[in-house]
Amino acid sequence: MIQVRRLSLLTTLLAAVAPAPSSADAGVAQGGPAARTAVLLFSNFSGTSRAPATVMPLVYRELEARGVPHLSHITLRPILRQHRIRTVRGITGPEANLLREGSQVELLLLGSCDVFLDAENPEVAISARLVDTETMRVVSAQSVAATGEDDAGLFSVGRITSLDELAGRVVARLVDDLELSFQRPQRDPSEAPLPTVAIVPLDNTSKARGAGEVVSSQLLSELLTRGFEVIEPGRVNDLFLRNGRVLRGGVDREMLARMSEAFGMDFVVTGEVETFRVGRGELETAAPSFAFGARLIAADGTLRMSHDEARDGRDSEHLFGLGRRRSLGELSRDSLKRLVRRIVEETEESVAIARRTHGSP
Amino acid sequence: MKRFRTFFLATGSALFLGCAGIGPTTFLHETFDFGFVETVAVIPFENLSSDQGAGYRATRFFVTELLAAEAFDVVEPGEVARALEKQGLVRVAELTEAQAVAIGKEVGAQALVLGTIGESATIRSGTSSVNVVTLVVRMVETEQGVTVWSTSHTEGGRGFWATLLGLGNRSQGEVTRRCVEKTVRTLIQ
Repeated sequence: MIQVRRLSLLTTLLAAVAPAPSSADAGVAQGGPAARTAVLLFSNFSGTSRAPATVMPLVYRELEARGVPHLSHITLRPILRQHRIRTVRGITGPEANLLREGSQVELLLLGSCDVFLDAENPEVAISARLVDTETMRVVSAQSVAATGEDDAGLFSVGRITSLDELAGRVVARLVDDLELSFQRPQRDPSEAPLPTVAIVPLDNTSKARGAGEVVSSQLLSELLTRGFEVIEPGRVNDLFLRNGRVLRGGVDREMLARMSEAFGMDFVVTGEVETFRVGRGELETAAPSFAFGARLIAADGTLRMSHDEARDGRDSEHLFGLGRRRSLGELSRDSLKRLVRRIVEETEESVAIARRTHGSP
Repeated sequence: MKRFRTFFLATGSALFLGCAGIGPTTFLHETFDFGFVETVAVIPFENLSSDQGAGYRATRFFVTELLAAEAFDVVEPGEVARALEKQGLVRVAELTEAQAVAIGKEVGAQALVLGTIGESATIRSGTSSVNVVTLVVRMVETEQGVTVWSTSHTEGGRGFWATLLGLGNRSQGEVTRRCVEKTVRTLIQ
């Protein structure tokens, strides 16, 4: 009897000590096979030319480790060239269709290298999104950012000084966050419709190249995370181009009507990025800064909300540098989280009405 | 004892007066009924300072303040930009009556807000520096193109306690925001 009790105790102990299945094991394996994914070359807004060359192999390594069947951007190059498909600002419906039919892919992975800074405290920020080639829905989007100092403990233990090593960690986190989305999600048609948002890329009045695009991608991730349906930026870009309009920081009534007709969206978000600056100088004192303004416009043209924010990495600093934000990507994400929280509050009523109309509880 | 009291009183007054800014100068049309104005369009502010982006910044803050005050509906700036483009306007701080009326009709606004950043600079004195912003704004109704509200305000300098205790300076964005906030307050109480 005592032996049986000991055995059961030992079994319980072993079960408690044994490592939990990693997210890689749990992710794709649990929900069925991953969808065939085409990886497009990430856009580079970092100002460092070697950023995509460093990041892309890391993305493939992580996808292979998770057993996601994929086609690399090099494999796709002939088909992209043949149809003159450029993916810097996203992808359009007909382009996605060509890729689906030409290479039988269900999902597209698009992304951008937002920050890639080789300094005493290296910094990397990457955004990526998955687009369903059949429905053109943005299935999932994530923005991940880190600096070498983020995990530094006592006596700088855990500090990362190599940019490549940091990039590896950021990409692993990014693919981890996207992992479950590699299975094409099937939506229940009886489900209440999600509020749909189109992002008109934020105007960039800062000195950082591509800051408008970077912040727009981060905003897309935040909106998706908070339950909004976001129109693929490539489709918005294409509509503006076809109407001979500049896609920047604002929308007029005529374009709004065309967007409503084409996408059936409920809201448009746009704005300006005023400051987008990584922390420079001494490691102890360097702090990034970020300032932006955004507006929420209803489909009928009503300006529903305006939000302005200026942040410095030191704003939330407590004693001994605790709470200081070192990464520009993290700092901007914090601000965008606050913006999206306000958008949620502002749109709650419209969403409730839509749900009532649709007959959901 | 009396000397001490006089000294403290004089020092205190000098400090207090030295830190006080200039209040806004405001014109408000006496007979105009502001209840008639439901929607306003904010025309991008002109920037006369050397601070690049000061005009954009102040315009953005102004739109936010107007919306936050919940007194008027504000036309989406993208729509305003299109209307200005249609009118072929480059210098937007000076509109003729006819242009103001035409833009009002185009965007469906009963009033236009026009503004100028007169100053947006960092003034240095010895080791200390102070950010200063001067904003001149006016509202023009779009039936006849008459100015119904106009105000100018300068914001800057350190607050009383910041000067006394040597605390940090306010950023240019923060100063602009306060300036816009006080400007809007002269119209919407």
